[in-house]
Amino acid sequence: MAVRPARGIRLLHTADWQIGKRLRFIPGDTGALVREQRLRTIEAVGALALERKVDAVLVAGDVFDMNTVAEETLRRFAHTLEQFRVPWVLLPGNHDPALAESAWTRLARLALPSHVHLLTSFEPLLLANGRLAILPAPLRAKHEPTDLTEEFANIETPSAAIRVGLAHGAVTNRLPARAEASNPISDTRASQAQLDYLALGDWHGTLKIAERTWYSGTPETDRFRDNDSGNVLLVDIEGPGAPPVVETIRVGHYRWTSWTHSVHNAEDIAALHVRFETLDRPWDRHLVSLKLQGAIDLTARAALEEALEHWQARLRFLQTDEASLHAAVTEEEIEEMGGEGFVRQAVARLRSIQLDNEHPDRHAARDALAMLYSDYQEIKSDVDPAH
Amino acid sequence: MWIRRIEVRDFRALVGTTIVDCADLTVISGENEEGKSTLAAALRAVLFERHRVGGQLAESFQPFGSKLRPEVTLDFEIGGQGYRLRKAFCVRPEAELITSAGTWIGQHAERELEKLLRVKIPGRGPSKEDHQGIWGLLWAEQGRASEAVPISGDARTRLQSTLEKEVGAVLGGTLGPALLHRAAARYANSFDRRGLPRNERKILAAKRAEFEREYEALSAQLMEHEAEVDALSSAQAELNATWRAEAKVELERELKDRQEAHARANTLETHAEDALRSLRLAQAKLETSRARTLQRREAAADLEKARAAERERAQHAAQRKKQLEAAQQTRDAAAKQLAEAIATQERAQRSFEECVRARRLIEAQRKHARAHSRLRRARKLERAAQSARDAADAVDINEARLDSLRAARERMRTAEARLQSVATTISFSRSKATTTAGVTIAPGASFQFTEPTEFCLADGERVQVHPGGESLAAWREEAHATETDYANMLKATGFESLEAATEALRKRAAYLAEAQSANHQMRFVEAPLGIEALTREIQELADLSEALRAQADDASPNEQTLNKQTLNKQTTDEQVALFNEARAEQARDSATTEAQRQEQRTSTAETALRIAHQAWFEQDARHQAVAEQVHNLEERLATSREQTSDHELESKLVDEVARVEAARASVEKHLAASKASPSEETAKALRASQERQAKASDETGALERKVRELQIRLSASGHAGLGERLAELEAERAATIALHDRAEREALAASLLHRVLEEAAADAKQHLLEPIQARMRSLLGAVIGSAELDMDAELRVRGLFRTDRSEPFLALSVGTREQLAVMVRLAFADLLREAGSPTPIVLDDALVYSDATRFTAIKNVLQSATNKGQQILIFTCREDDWADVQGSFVRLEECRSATKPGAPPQLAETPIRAPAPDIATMNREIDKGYAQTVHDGLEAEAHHE
Repeated sequence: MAVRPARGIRLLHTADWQIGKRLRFIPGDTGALVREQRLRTIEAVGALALERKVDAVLVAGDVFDMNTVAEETLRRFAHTLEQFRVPWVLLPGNHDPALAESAWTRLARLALPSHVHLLTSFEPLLLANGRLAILPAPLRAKHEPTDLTEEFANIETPSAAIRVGLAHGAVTNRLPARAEASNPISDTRASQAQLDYLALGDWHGTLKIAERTWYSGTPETDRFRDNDSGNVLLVDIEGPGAPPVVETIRVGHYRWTSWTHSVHNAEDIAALHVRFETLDRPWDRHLVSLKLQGAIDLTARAALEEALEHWQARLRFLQTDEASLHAAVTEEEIEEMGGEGFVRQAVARLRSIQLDNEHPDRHAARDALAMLYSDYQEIKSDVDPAH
Repeated sequence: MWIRRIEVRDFRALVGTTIVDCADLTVISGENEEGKSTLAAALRAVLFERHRVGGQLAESFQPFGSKLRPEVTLDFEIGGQGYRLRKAFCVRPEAELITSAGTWIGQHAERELEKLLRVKIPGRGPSKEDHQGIWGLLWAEQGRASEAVPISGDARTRLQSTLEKEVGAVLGGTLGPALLHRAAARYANSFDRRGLPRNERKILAAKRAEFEREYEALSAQLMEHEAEVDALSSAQAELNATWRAEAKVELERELKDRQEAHARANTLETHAEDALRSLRLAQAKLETSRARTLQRREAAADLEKARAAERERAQHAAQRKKQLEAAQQTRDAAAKQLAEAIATQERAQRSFEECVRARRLIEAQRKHARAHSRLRRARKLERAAQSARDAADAVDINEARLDSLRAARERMRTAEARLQSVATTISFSRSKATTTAGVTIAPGASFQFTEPTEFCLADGERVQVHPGGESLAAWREEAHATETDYANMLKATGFESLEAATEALRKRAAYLAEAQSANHQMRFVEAPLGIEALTREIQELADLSEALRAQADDASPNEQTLNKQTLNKQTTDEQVALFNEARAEQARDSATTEAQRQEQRTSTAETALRIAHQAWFEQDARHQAVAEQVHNLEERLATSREQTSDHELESKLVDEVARVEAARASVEKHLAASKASPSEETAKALRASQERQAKASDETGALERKVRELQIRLSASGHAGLGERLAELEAERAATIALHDRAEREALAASLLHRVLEEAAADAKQHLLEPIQARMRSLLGAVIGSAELDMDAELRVRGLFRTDRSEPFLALSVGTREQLAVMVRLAFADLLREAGSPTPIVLDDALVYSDATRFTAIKNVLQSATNKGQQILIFTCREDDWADVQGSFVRLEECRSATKPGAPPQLAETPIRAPAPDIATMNREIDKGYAQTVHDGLEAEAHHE
């Protein structure tokens, strides 16, 4: 843990809280639990800020998932911030731009306590008895074609104050092309505007752009993308011009993991079990997206179903994609099931449909074979309970 | 199976014992009612019915009206092994199956039979098609030969398994149908009969649609919200735009300039208007001055005119006054004459009234005297009538009683005459009178006897007389009774004789006539209204006379005198009274006419007086008015002159003319100055400036209002949390879509599975039919020609395909139907026989509708079937039809033995010619507890009973 600088300032840099976000692919109670966790994580951020005696918590945009969050969500959020008496500095992002009517205007009407600062204009904010000058670049539309941080260079601040820029957007030349589509921010802004630190939001993973330019990422992961999310940045700056000391601190509750697994036989299913078991405990903090591929026979299919049900019960959430998993019926199975007579013919017909990549019913044929096999097993166990 | 012999005893029509031996093709013939159907029924009974069957079916086995014990014995072979099956029904029911391995008794025999024949003998009630398996299929019952071959579940299963043996196990044993059943159930769970979604699929589809609708609605709301946020931004931007403030300042400056220019123009105009007002004031004053001068002159002229008129009115008034006085005098004279005429009229009236009273008194007195005379006469007549009525009442006889009397006398006379007519008359010729029996018989006397009488003649002789030939006692009694009756009636009337009574009645009539005459006289002449009324009339006349006298007394003394004189003088003469009355009336009328004439004159004079008075009054009023007018004019003129003299007025008029001229010159000067800068133009420019400013102000106001409204609306809609709601809904929608997609996927798979299985099963079944179709092609070719059997997968005959056309079974002719049914049976039987299960075909009166050609053809196919080893039993009543086939011909009448009914059966020698019993098989059965030995079977039966 870094020691608090005596004359400098200490910041907690975070972003992309996206309060009110619904995880539409996680249904029911699990979805509600994961959603609720976002507020709990903010509480954890608040507690951390008090513990580390920070001068301000900078939230670099996308505080809300949308401007039209529910009133209850808005009020619960406000109440959460009220509980932690540290300066909360909130900046609008592309999800919650400072429109004529927005979550910000609604929040402003709630009469927030003085330690909550809504930076909806380009007016610099002075904190820590004037030692800290925050230069905000709030988005006033979802997509700004120009770099709003250009103005930072023209804004004068007290000479003793540490200049910290706060912006939301895509740093040019540093991110994947699709992330740079709008709200551009120059990658040389910190030096060009003589900033001691530029706190950025929009990229959900923790990312250092330059010595003085960082993306904190979202404190609570909300998607299956391996980009080091779930952190906040503790930033210590000794004084104007001093380099920032940045510490990455994990605050996220849930672990989001995704991988692809090939299944062809019983050994592959056993390997899948092993893969699951390598996850950190407790397992109920994990959300897993599993893509299955390969071809399995009807017996292995039943074992796979069993394995997935087993892990569904243990994990917080398990999402499977079986589009690339094909049913393979063994000759023995068909022999056993069809024996002789018309069932054999029917199985043969279904297989031919399944194997015909042009046939529109090929997936239905795969499911139909599985159904047939399931029926066959049930009939057999009815006739011979020992089976 | 091969039937060797059928033995029937005391079964329905077959009383006694009937034994039929069967060959490959056995034609059993017999006349109607000879027992063919009974034999067929007996065969069915022994094969399919429980030996303990009861009820109507069992009773139908017994010969009609008997309590005999029907018994059927069947010898048959299966797989080269011989069997004897015997069943007795109704009385001591029994079943026995003798095999080479042993004998089965009772229900064990039937169980064994079930296994042997693969039939089901029902636990209770009669056997049905379902129980009879393949037997029922191959048995064409009497009267049902043209029906489609009935196929039961067991028969179908057996045939299908036989077919599978031939073509392979295409039906998949028990697993195939079970899988198909499950697939059908899966399909039915997801699709309804029309192939539309049902159950969970349907619910999910509805839920999905609902979510889509909600999502659309909420999205629309959110879009609207976002559009309003944009609108708010635009409105705020526009409101705070820089150009707006600059434009406002420019507008205010322009407005100020124009206001000042307009004020200047207004001042010039005000001065011109003031000069104009001064000119108008001067002109008005000049007009006033002129008017006053003119008025003064007119007033003087008016006064002179009024004075002349006043004089004229005064003369007219004096003239009218004189005319009024003359009219008053005329009216007074007329009034005096009227008063006199009225007095004369009153006197004449009174005199006339007196004369009338006098005349009425005379009339009353005369009527009074006349009425008195009539009263007296009337009373006299009344008394006379009463006397005559009294005399008539004294005669106590009337016509009725007289008639009764006459009738009594007539009856008496008739009775006497009748008695006399039968009396015996005896004449005595004695010389002297003799007395005998109290009767003196005078000489020569004759006597009539009406009763037996004995005379004792003097010489002691006795003469006995017996009148008539019979007893006359009744006649005598009648004569006596009528006589007594008549006498009594006379006595009752009080008359001596009928003639006296007749006379009395005549007198009574005379009295009554007299009374009636007197009454008539009184009633119609003297007192038509009765004596009472007459008396009242007399009293009224007396009262009237008295009243008239009293009125005369009440008249004035002068009149009284006159009246009394008149009365006294006139009482004697009514004519005179009438004359006086007429004269007095005439005098009164003259006086009245005079009075009226005088009244008319007076009235005319009054009218003339009123007119004259009115004329004077009006003339006088006019005069007064004119006089007052003159006075007023004089006073007004005097007052006016006191204020301003005529001279002063004239000089003021001249001054006013000079002032007007001066004012006009001033107006012209100011108007010329005002025209140089007209206020309309400056006002117009000012208005334009004001409008521009108002418009700008309105625009700003509208924008401010819009901003306020949008802020309020957005605050409300933001409060609703639309975005989060939409996200939440999207999550639920996505979950539902996933579920629905999965359900659809499963439904698609279930549908595919069901379809594929169904198609495979149908293919398999069609493949299964091939052995039958092959056989049928051959049979149909031989009998009907080129045709294909139309049979479904369940082995049901649907009809025929001929020349690519399907003909339903029921559309075929009856003959073709029964031929087709026989051929299908032959095909089935052939299949079974080749599979090692030969089963006899029984045709009971079949093929009766076939034409000769087809009949011959079908006989050929039957013959060829028997040649291949198929047993066929044919029951027919037309032996000749079958004469040309090679087989065994059995005439039922020849099979009947002479055994007496009820005698114990004479079993033929057991035809079992089987190899040694299969002891190992038997042992296995016993081990399973499934069979019993004969002894055990008997014991079990006893225990059961």
